[in-house]
Amino acid sequence: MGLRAKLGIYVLGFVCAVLAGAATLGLRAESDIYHDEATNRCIALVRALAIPCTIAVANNDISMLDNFVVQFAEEAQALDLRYLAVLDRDNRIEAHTSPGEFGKRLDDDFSRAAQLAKQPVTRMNTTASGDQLLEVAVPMASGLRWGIVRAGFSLSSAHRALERSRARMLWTDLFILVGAAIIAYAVLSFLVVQPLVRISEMARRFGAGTLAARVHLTSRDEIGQLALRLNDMAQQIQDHTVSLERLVDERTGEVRAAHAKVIAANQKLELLARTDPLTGLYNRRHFMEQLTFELRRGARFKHQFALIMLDVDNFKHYNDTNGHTAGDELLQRLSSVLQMNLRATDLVARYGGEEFIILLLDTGPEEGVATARKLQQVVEAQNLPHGEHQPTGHVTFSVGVSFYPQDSVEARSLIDFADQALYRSKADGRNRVTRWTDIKAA
Amino acid sequence: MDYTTPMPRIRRPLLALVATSALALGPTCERQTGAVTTVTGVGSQAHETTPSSAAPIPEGGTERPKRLILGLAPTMSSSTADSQYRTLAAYLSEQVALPIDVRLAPSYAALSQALTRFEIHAAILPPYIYVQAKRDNPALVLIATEIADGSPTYASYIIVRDDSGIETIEQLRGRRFGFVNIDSTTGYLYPYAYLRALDIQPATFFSEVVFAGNHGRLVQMVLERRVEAGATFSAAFKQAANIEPEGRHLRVLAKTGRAPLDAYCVSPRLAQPIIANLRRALLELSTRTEEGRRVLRGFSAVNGFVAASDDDYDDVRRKAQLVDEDRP
Repeated sequence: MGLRAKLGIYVLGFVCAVLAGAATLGLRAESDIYHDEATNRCIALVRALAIPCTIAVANNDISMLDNFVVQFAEEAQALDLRYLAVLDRDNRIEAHTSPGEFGKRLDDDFSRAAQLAKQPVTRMNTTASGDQLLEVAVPMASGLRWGIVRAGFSLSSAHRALERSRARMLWTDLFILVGAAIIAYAVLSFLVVQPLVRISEMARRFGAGTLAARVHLTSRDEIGQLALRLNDMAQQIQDHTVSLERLVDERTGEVRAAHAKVIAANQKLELLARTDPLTGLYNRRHFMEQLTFELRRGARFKHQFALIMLDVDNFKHYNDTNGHTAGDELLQRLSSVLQMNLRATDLVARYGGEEFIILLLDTGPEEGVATARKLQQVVEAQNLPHGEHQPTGHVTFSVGVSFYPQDSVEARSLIDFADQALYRSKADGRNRVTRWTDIKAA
Repeated sequence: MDYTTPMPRIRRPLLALVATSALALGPTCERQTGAVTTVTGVGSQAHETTPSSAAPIPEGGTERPKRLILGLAPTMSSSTADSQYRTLAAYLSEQVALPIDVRLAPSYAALSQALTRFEIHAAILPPYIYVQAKRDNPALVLIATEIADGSPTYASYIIVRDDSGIETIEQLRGRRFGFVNIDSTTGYLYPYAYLRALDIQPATFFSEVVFAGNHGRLVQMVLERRVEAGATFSAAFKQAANIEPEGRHLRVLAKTGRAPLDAYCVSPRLAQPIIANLRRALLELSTRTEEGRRVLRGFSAVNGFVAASDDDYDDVRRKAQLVDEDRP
């Protein structure tokens, strides 16, 4: 329920109750006051009228009494006088504003009570026609007690005036109430609800991400203060967030940089793990992994490859003769030569100290042997430094070749076969290529 | 913390609202202090007439008699005629610059005839006589009526001796009853109508019906127990009590109504200025002035005169019709 509805119910409900209570009490009090007033006035009037009547009755001047009462009757309407009766001590009517009542007895409780009373007596009656009748009876006494003067006054017209006054008062109250309600509504709307809605909206937008959202209220009251504080808070949060984001960006940058470094380092490490530092060729470990990979691939996709093992002839002799540095250099040159004479898809690795191994992918036996021979011949013809000091007159390779899947489908076997073939090459005089298939039968 | 005043936007309508509320409430606080307010409403349009405020006089005639004859109804005894009306006539004579003779008519018929023949130019008629005269002379001009004992009407009573033991009309059954005379308003017309309204036929209800002749005589007849009850008017009743000690022994048994007082009328043939003067003279005459008191001394209760209209006598007229219907 909105503030305005709440105010409407509680405050106006309260005001209504208070007004109603006050109105009721006020009206009742007003009614009582009016009644007392009316009664007093009527008593005063009858007391005044009783005086000439008393004197006439005392003088037994019925004629004069009649003349008085006739005049009273004429004045009756202005006085709201419904009747006036002069009663003797036996409640017999001596004179009456209504002709024809003379001689009758008006002997009810009221008359009897009045006859005994020293002061005026009154009573309220509602006649059959709905008239509000106030009856007053006053003693006729001038020294002696002669009877009573009894009169009835209609309060109806005054009651009606009272009702009208009440109605007017109630309408005024209603008017005020409605006016107050409208004012309260407007004031509450303007001073409280609207600003709150705007503050609320700002908070929503801020929460949704618009950190620049602010609320601008012109008043300096409590809500205005709230708005100011909220703006300050928003500003603080915004600044804080911005600097945090910047920090985060920095850190992220740093982290990324570090990460990149780590990755680079990892890659380097990976590379180091997989390559031979001297020649830059893949190392044995890498080669074995690749070989295993190719064999596994072969389980799914039919392919063939050739395995070539190369061993530098008389490398020890070279090292002893030319020094280890030269030996290292030689290995490097040999690496280059091999690489330059192989395809990109061919994998060449340093298998051992002076041993190289090559995996020729998608290569059949004929082609494999041809390549092996080519390599062996290229190296021989290369004229590598200090080649003349080698027993063969050149730096040469002994080569052994095995084929997958023809020779074997197992890594160990393939290498073993190529190795055996290499050994055969060595045994046969070096600087040559031997296929496993050549020695297999033997 | 500083507060800003409510925006002008709210202030103005607020002020307007407060103002209108105050206006609405204002009329509810009716308190007139200092100002004298005239009480309006119905009340006794007190028989207060000045000659200038009186109703316009009907068209009169043109005749100017040498001597104005003022006729009196036969119900008035000649002694009364002398004392009361002579002084009045003298005053009026002075006022209208015309000699005025008072003449007592021997009978109603004579009075009526004389009026028709313009042998009587003005008349002072008791109500019952007046309505008859008006019936016979429709052009009869009514110029004034009396105020007696402060009232434009007077009461008609049925009186008994207070030791008669008679408390109700019913107790008069088979007893003797006295009227004044057949032309008397309060001594016959009103009590007759009253008894008829009670479904009483005087001729059969009472053992004897007596006509006393005049009010004084009637009162005496009651006092002397010649009749058990009689009808008369309030002044006679009062007079009796004052004049005779025995008069205190009278009691009102019933009030038979209130009749207007004597009608002062003139012949329509009388010249307009004379009529106007007569009227003015009467309306100016009252016990408020020394002269008035002198002139009216002979009248036991008359305080003055007021303009009258024929309607004032309608009640008398109705009762007269009732009596006429009863007569064979």
